[in-house]
Amino acid sequence: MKNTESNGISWSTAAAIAFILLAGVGGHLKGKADTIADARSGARAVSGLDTAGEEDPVGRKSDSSDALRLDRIHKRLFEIWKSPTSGGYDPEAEARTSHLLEQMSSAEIEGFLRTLPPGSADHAYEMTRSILFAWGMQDAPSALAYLSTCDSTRMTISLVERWVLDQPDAALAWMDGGSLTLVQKRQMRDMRLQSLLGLSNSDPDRAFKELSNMKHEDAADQIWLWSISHAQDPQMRQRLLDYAAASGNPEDLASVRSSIAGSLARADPDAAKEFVRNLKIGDEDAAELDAAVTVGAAYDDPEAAYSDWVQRNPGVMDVPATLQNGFSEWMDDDPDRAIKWLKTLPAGGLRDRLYESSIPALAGSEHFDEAAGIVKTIDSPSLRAEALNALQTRWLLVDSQKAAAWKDGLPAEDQALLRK
Amino acid sequence: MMIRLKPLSLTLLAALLTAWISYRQSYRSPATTHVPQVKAPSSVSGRSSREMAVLTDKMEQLHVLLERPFNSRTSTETWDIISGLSVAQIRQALDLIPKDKATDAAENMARALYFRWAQMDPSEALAAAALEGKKEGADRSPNKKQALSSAYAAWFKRDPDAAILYAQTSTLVSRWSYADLMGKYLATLPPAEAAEKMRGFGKDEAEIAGVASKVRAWGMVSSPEDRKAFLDGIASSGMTAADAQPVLKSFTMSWGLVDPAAALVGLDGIPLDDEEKAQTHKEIMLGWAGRNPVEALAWAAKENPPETMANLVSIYSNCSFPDVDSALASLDTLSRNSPDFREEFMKLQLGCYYQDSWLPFGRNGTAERLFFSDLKIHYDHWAASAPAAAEKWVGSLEPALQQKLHTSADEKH
Repeated sequence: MKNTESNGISWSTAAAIAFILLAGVGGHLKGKADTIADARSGARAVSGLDTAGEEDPVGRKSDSSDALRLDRIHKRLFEIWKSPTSGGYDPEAEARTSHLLEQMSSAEIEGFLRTLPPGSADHAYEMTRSILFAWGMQDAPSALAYLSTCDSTRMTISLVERWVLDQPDAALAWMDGGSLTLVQKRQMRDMRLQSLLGLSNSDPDRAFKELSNMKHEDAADQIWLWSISHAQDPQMRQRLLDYAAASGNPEDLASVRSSIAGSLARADPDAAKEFVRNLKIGDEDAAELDAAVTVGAAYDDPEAAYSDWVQRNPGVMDVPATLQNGFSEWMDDDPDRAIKWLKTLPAGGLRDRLYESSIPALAGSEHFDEAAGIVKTIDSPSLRAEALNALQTRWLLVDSQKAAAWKDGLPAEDQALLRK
Repeated sequence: MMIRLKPLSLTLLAALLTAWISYRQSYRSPATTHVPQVKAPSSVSGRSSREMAVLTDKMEQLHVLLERPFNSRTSTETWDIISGLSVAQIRQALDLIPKDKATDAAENMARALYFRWAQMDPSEALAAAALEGKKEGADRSPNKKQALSSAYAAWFKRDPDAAILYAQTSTLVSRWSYADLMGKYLATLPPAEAAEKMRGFGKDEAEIAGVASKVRAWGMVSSPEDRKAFLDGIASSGMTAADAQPVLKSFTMSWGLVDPAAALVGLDGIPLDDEEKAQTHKEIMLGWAGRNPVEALAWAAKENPPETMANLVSIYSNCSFPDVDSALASLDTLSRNSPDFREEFMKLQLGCYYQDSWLPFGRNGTAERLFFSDLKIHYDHWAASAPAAAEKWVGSLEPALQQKLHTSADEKH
């Protein structure tokens, strides 16, 4: 009796439990089904005030024909972008564009873009830009293939840079064999440098891994660029120094050290000096890094920085290349101020060297008359010869008549120094 | 009976409760469905993958998005979250954005937050945007400018008339923010109505009118009647000659995109000053060369008056050739038609090569190799077809470059 009673309780309890479980499973399945149904019907969450933003369903399956569906999407895209935007900025329009594009194939997106007339109005340009960016995240190779048929190198670079950050493996592989115009191919190496600069911020491990796929000279340029942009980050700094030290080429390490020192000095010369002090280096390297720190400090106050270097290096004629480059940069940026400072130095010696190294920058920025005036004051014949030839090369290319007139007016001694 | 009913009703109650809980757990409302499932980037550490796979808290999702690279997908995800935030949540979200680390993602998020805020309460959003950077002591921070511009753009989109009235009296909204928006908006209105709305902007009226005219120009280039109507409109608008120049240039450039050959011929009849006319001519040609090099070069070669040599070199350099061989074939054709063309082009190549040492701040090995490679390709091609002329040219270069051109291996790219 006890057993029977016990069995009866177990049976009814088991039935109740089974019933409850069944109800649970049913509820779960119903919930799933409703979620899918809602998603298919295009039900969207919009804020109460954003009524203008509600999208009607444009689902592929609900339309009877592709043409009708596409026509509705096209109209919606124009509707989204009909309002003026501030310099193309409208996050709401961009998000809606992106969602609409999810319902289009790459061929359909390309077909739509090709229907837009050239010379479209501003809002159509912004719509096109937004479509290209969204398409690039959806199917970058197709978007880039389309762009290769347009005159839009800048857009191609922007898209590739974003793609590299999103899917570095695919993007970097594409850069080696993508369908690009000749102009774009020429820009590919710079594109890679810039893209990897971005990637070094978001995913440094992947960025460093890519160095092993690059030619040594390209990898050296890359770590040089990273050294400038990551100088403030102690961990990255160390990583770059370690990489350069292991590369087997002493120039790589020198370049990374110099870039870090110079970049640090722009923001904080004392921190840069501290960085240099902590490196185990010989005198020659110390002189080069001192020059890098000087050039960095010259960013804010060139007269003070260069005067300080001259005082600490009396009689030095062998000016480090970094300092010559930095000085040339100042000469290019503000020639009057740089020349005024140079005139405070005693004639000959170091002044000759700095005069000579500044001629390419002056000629490059087409300050030919200033350059011609400086060349005359260089005492050393060998340095004057270098300066005269650098000036002649550039001047002849830009304005051969004036260059010839300048050449004819030179003293016989200087004419003899010019290459035929 | 009562005794038997009790367990039955309890069972039913439990079953109903279980079914409801299961339903709620598996059903995600449209609002929840729409919120993107933000996945953490691989580089974000310190969280388990399961924890990061689905983040339901909006602030946490925004926090993760700040760590992810900025692109169309992440900015869409960001907007999808932000478009559902209340003003209180927007304030909270703005605090997530690091003030000391300017990233594209952070900048985009801040702008989107102010945009959304202004959709709900523009005055409050603009007042808050004006305080951007104040805490950090940077009253003129770029963040403030961006925040104000974003808030104003959202308001303008929703209610342009109210936004225009506000801009006439407020010092918060800069000309930078409104002139462009307003010009574009006014271009969509009948001229009389547009002129009425423009009143009250004093010296900015000319700039706004200029933007509006430029936008109108885009739609007025396709037919001779439209073009005439547009030019007549500019002539009778009272716009000064100086103010009209950028509008006329924009009109002609748009025409050049639709029909470059006609625009280049019609340029003579556009009241642009001579310098602007020459520049516009060049830009139309360069754009055409980028889009359709074959057509552009054919036109440049035969039309009268002929292009200047400098223009022809620029046009050729801007052509979007599919490969080196077709570029070299075009170079040969141009050289046959204009005997000085090749030397002029080589001069440009030489200039690019030397540029690296002329501009020390731009110096890098990659650029140097690239420019040398271009020089080498064109020199080798020239030497193969006209060795005497090529050798004469190379003999005029500095000895080190001569040697480099003679000894380096060809590197087509």
